[in-house]
Amino acid sequence: MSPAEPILEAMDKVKPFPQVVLKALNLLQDPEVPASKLLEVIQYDPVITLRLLQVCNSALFGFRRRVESLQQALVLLGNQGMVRLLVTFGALELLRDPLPGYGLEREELWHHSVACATLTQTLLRQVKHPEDTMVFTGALLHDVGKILLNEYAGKKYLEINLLVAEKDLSALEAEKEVLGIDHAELGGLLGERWNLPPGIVSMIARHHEPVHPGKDPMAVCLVHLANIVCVQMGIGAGARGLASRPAPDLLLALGWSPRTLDACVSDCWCELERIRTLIGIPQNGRA
Amino acid sequence: MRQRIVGIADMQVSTEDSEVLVTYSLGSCIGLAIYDPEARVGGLLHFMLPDSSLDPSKARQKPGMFADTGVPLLFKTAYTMGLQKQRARVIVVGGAQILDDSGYFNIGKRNYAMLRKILWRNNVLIDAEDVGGNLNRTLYLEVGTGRAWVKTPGQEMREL
Repeated sequence: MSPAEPILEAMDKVKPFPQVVLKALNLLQDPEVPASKLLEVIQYDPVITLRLLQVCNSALFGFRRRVESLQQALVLLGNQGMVRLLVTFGALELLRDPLPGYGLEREELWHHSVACATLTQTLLRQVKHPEDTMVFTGALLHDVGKILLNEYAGKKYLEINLLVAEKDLSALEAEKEVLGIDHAELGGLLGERWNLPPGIVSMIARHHEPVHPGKDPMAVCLVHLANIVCVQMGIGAGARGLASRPAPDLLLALGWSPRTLDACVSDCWCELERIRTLIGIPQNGRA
Repeated sequence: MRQRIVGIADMQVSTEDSEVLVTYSLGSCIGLAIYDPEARVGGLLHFMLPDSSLDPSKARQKPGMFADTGVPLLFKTAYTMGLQKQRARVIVVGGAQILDDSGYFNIGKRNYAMLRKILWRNNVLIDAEDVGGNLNRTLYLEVGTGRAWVKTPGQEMREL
């Protein structure tokens, strides 16, 4: 029996993906979708509605009038902004637990994921693409396979660490060798099971592949790059995160210098501080 | 002991004997700790990037983001609290790398090179350091004693 079999069987135990978020994402596949349709989907979830209104009324948005209805919020945030907030909250529920198998404390994976999602938007601007909620979501969920693999990675913690330290394997390669499957592949399978849009599934499944902007969708390349940059900075890197391999020649193919990347990092950090305050994570907390 | 957390692109200076300054998640970023054992002043900076010419307005807003604005600010703030340069113990932690042969993702190395240049120009020597590799580090500085510790995942704390 492959060591991956019990892991694949355990997929049934993972929390379901929040249905409101999924429906909203599917609606947003059509960029022309009328706001009323989004409203229809969201309004039946009182918890999410309340949180959205709380965030809209926080000082950071600086809206002059009090936002009292979902309708007003949608007018102020726009369809894309609303769905981004929705997926960010949805992801918090999925990603907030500590993952000792990866050396990640409570909310650390979520913070890493929000950082990646934010960075993809900075990177998109850099390649002259408009902001994109699908890319944001793909980046937010790229490590979702870790929530399932955590238990198994925990049992083989030392074995995986040893392979990384002594055999020059990346964390992902070591994980695959010991467990028979890695978190990217597993995350992709999980995304399929949740019926996430195929573009998002592909960003999750391929976020560690040696992608190239000449051959692969820009979305997949930028989620890969955002993840590499965030772990490099230590944001949610956990026990082995820095043992990650960037796709060769990716920056060269994008025509970027290391300084271009520095500028994206610095822009993204300021944006992230804003989001962090918005969602209520302490400013100086463990990143 | 009470922990005072130094966030990314942030800096703290303390004279509180009961405090430990701590900074988490030092990947390619660098944690610079300084301590004057006579004045019992400790300071800790967690900078992200080497060079503020990248974005001077951000550097004004958040000087701790860059080595060339954060390091002078750390020393200047500590001077106002009694630290003297010639007595200061200087500890450097972080500057890690990912597995990259191309050298494009070398923020860690560039951060370290810039820090050394700044310290060298100001006649400051590094007393202890734990830099490079592909480790994610946490740095602690006890303000009462000046003892500094580094922690990496899965390892015991190590005194520097």
